[in-house]
Amino acid sequence: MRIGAFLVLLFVFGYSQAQIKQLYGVDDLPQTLMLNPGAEFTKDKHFGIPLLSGISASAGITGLTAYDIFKEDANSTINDRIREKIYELSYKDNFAINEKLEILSLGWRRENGDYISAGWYQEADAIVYWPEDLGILTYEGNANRIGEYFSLEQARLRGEVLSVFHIGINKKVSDKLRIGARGKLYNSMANFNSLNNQGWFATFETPQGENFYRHDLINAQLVLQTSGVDNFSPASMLFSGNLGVGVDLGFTYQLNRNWKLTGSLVDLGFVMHSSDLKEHYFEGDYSTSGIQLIFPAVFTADDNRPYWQDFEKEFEEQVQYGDRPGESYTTLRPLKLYSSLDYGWGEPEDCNCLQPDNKTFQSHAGVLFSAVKRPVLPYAGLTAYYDTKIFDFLRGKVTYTVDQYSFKNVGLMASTNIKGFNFYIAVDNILAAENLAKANTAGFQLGLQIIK
Amino acid sequence: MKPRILLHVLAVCIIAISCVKDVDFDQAEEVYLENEFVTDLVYFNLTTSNFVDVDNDVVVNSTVTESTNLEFLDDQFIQENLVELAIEMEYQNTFQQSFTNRARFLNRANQEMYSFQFDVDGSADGSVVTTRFVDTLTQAELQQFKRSIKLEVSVDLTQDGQSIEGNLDFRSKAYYKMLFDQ
Repeated sequence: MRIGAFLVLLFVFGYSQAQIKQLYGVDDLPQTLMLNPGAEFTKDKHFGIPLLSGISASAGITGLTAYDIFKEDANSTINDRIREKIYELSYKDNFAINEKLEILSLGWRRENGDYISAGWYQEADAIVYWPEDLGILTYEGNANRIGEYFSLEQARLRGEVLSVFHIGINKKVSDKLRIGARGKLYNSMANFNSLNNQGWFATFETPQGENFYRHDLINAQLVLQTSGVDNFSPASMLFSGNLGVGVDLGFTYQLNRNWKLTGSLVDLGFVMHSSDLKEHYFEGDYSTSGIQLIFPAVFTADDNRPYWQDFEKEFEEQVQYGDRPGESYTTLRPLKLYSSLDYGWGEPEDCNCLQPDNKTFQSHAGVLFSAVKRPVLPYAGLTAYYDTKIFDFLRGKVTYTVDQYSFKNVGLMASTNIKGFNFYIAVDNILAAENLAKANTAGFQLGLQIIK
Repeated sequence: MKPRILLHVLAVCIIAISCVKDVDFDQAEEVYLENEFVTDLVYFNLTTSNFVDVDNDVVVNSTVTESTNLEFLDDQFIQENLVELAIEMEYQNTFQQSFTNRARFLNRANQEMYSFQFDVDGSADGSVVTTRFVDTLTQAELQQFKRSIKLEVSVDLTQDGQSIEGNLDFRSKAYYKMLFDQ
C-alpha cells in the first residue's frame, strides 16, 4: 500500500496537456509548431533524436494533494483527513494524466520559405472524475442518507492510448500574417469511455408501505465502452483498426514591429472506434422492499417457494449487467485552444538567411491563454511569460500561470543549441518541486534534437 | 560556462530542489473504511385464514412458519467485513390475541446458528397495536450469525378462548456496519 501510495504521488504533480505551455512561442524549438502550427519558427531544419526529442509526462488532480492526505500531523489521523476530503470533493474534481513520447520528428524549410514538419508520436491520456454521490454512498453507506438521491451520472471517465502520424505546413502569407496547419492521423491503440451515464439510487422510508423502506434503482444506464483493449499490443502502434483524423490550425499576426497576436486550435479531430469493441454495462430499473413471505391458508399445502431465487430472477429480469460486444462509437480528441499577445524587442545577432525579412527578437514577453476541452468543465489558464536569450547558446523562459490548480505556478524553460545539437527542458510549477506532496500541478518536458 | 557543465548544474538543481517533504506514506496502512447500511429484510401479512378454519371457527394452526434463504449472508463481502448487526422487527396487530415471534437463522443444514423471540401485544379493541423489537448482536453472536444462510420466522398464536379474527402485518429491516481495513 505504501509503495502504491508513493506511485500515486509520482503522478500527482501535473495537469493534462500534450505539450507543456512553456514551449509555446519558443521560435527556435520545433515543438512550438505542435502547439501552434502557425507559429514563428526561425530555423531551417530539424531532426529529433528518435524517442528522445520530446518526452513529457504529467498528471494532475483537483480538490486535494498528496499532502492533504499523508501529512505528518499529530492532531489528525489519515482517516480524519480522508473523511474531510470525501465531503469536500465535488463531481467536478478530477484526476488527469498525460504522457507523450515523440518517436520521430523532422522538418525542413522549402525554398519558398514554407516550413514542413512531420513526425510520429505516441500519447496516452486519461481523466477520471470524482463520482461525488457514489463516493459518499460508498464511504458512509445509506443508513444516514434516507430519502437522498445518489446520482450515477457523476461516474465519468475516459482514456486513450494512441499513436499519431502528422504532417504540417507553416507558411507566411503576408508581411503580417503567418498561418499553419497540421494534419493528423490518429491510431487509437486502446480506448475506454464512460461519459454518458444516467440513473439514481435512493432509499425511502415508507411508513404506510409494505416494509420499512423502498430501495429504488431508477433508470440506471452505466456503460463503459472500450476498444482495442483485448488486442492491445505494440503492433497496435502501427494499425489498430480504430482510426481517426484531426487537424491543428494556427496563425501569427504581426500587429506592428514589436507586437504580435497568435492563436491556435490543436487536436480538432475524432476517432472512430470499430475494432475490438466491448461494453461493460449495468442498466435497468428496480424497486424492492425486501422479500414477501407468503404463509399458506389453513388446509393449503406450503408450496415451499424459492423466495431468494425468485428475488434474484426478478432483479435480473429488470436489471441487466455484464459484458457484451460493443457498438461502434466515435470519440472527440480533447480540443486545445491557445492564444497569446507577445511583445518582442532586441535585435537578433544571427541572420535568418532564408527568411531575411523575418523579424526575430532577443526577448519576448506576453500573455498566453490556454484551454483544454474536458467532459465536465474546460481547463483554462492564463500565463504571463518572459523569454530571452541568455547566452548565444542558451535561451531561457520564465512563466507565471493562474489556473484551476494554482495561483502561484512559476515555470521555467531552458534550451541550448550548440552547433545544431539542442537540448531543452521545461518545467511547470517549479515552486512545487520544493515539496511535490503539496502540488496540484507541475509537469515537465525535455528533448534532444538536431536543429539548424 | 561550458554548456555541458550548465546542463549538469541545471539537472542537479532540479533534482536537489525536487522532493517530497512532511508526508508519511506508511499512514496508508492505517486507512480503513467504515460504512453503515440499512436494508429491508422480509415482510408478510397474516389473517384469520392462516390460523382458523373460518367455516367452523376452529383453530387449525396455532403456529405458522415460513423461511427464505438470504444468500447474500454467504458473500465474502459480508463474511469478511460485517462488524455490527442489528435487526428490527415490527408487528401491527389487530387480533385480540397476542403472539410470540420466533426468528431463527439457520445454516444450509438447517441447524440453528442464531435466534431470538419476542411477544407481540394483542389489541383490546381491534385497533392497530404496534410492537417493535430490536436485536443488536454481540460479537460472539455475530460470528455465529455469519454462519447462517436462511431466515425462518414462526408466529405462535396465544389462544385465549376468544374469537380469533384480525390482521397481523410484519416488517423487518437490518442495520449493518461494515469495516474494510488492511
